[in-house]
Amino acid sequence: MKALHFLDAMGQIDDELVMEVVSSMKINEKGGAHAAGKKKNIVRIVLIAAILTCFLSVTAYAASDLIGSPEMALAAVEEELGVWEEMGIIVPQSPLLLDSDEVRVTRCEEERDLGGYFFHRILKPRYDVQIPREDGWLQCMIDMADGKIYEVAFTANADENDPAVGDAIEWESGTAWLRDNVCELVPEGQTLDELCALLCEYWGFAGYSIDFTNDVFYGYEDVQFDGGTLVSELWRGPYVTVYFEGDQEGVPMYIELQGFAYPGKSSSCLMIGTNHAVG
Amino acid sequence: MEDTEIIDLFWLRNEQAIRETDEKYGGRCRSVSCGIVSDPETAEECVNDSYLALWNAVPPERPRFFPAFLFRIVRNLSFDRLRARLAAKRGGGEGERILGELDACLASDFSVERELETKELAAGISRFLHTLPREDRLIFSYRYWLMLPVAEVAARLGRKENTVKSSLHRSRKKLHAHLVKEGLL
Repeated sequence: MKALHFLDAMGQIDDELVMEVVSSMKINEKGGAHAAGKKKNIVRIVLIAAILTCFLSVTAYAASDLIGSPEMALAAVEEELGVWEEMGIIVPQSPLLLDSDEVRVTRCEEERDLGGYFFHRILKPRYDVQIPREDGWLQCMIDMADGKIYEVAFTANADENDPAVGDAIEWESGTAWLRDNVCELVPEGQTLDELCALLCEYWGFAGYSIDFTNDVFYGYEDVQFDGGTLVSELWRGPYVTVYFEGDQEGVPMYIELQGFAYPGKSSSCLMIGTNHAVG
Repeated sequence: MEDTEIIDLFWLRNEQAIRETDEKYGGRCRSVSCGIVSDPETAEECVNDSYLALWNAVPPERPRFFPAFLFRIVRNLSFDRLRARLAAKRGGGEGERILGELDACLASDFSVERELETKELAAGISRFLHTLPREDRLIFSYRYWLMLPVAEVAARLGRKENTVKSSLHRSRKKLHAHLVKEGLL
């Protein structure tokens, strides 16, 4: 086969692929600018710079998005979830119910969308995607700029076959038992070191350090973690603070595994939050 | 203006169709072409030729994905220009480098008689691209669909050149395996 023949055939790849390539070129949409000549370019650049100065606070969050529509955000979630499963960050999850009325995709790029709450320290333009699964729920923040997950919460609902742990929990509406179904989220035997190393690989960080957690509000004061700690052991314990080395100097990340129990329902939830593209 | 309205204008043989197409997609068309021919003037010619080709194709065509239909024309006409330049050995530049990369990956014992139909090969390539993670797919498409230099692929996607090179290397190996598996190589 000749390379020219291959490049000819590349010109006939399917529409979806063509649109993916061209959509991702938004940042270079005015490619024709090259044709305008140097002087015209200088004028253009000065004008653009002036406009950018005026709107910097908003446009800084709106630039060069790879993910530009709710459909693309949903496709990105499916794909990135597959990557996480393949890498072994998370165990394979039950199917996403993409046709459900409960699917929510919210574009968050205005300042009001980026106002902080607990897990957010430095916030990036993103799609907040919520999708029910056959036996749980997925909430996932997709970075508009590179289409990667930068915050995620996996929830897996337990069933009566999962072992009850601890005492019964009394609620006004009834009694609940916490059931251990962490195996539906965390790979067996995975340590904090292994999880952090995989996250480093996914986000392209150079390294990480696991910090102590000092959170009086939650009753955790100076809890020191060991990289050898099993992730599954974090269940019902404090969250872990991690500093990744690379492009997000000094921004803490969190890894938390929790169990919830309400009458008739028990779930485990793994949350991983990051601001990986800052800097 | 919606794509369906632009297509209606083409069907009505209203020249406003060209102006609306240029207004909506002209920037990206020039960007696609310029990446391949590396020359703004030639790119401008290619885009204008593409509008003419579009005018001649619609009707009878009524493209389901109008922009994909248009960008494909732009890409292929630009590639034709590059091919002519390569044939005349008048500075194929990046095109020559790309051909060199692919020749190594696509070497086979296929005879001329067994040369595949381009359509069949395109379908195989599409299937292959769908198997790649999105970032690798974009890198591959930027290199072999848009025919951009490695440095520009890296700049556009915010990645290091070495990352792009290793992604391309991996993808070419996977491509070879995929084409062999599908009996296309």
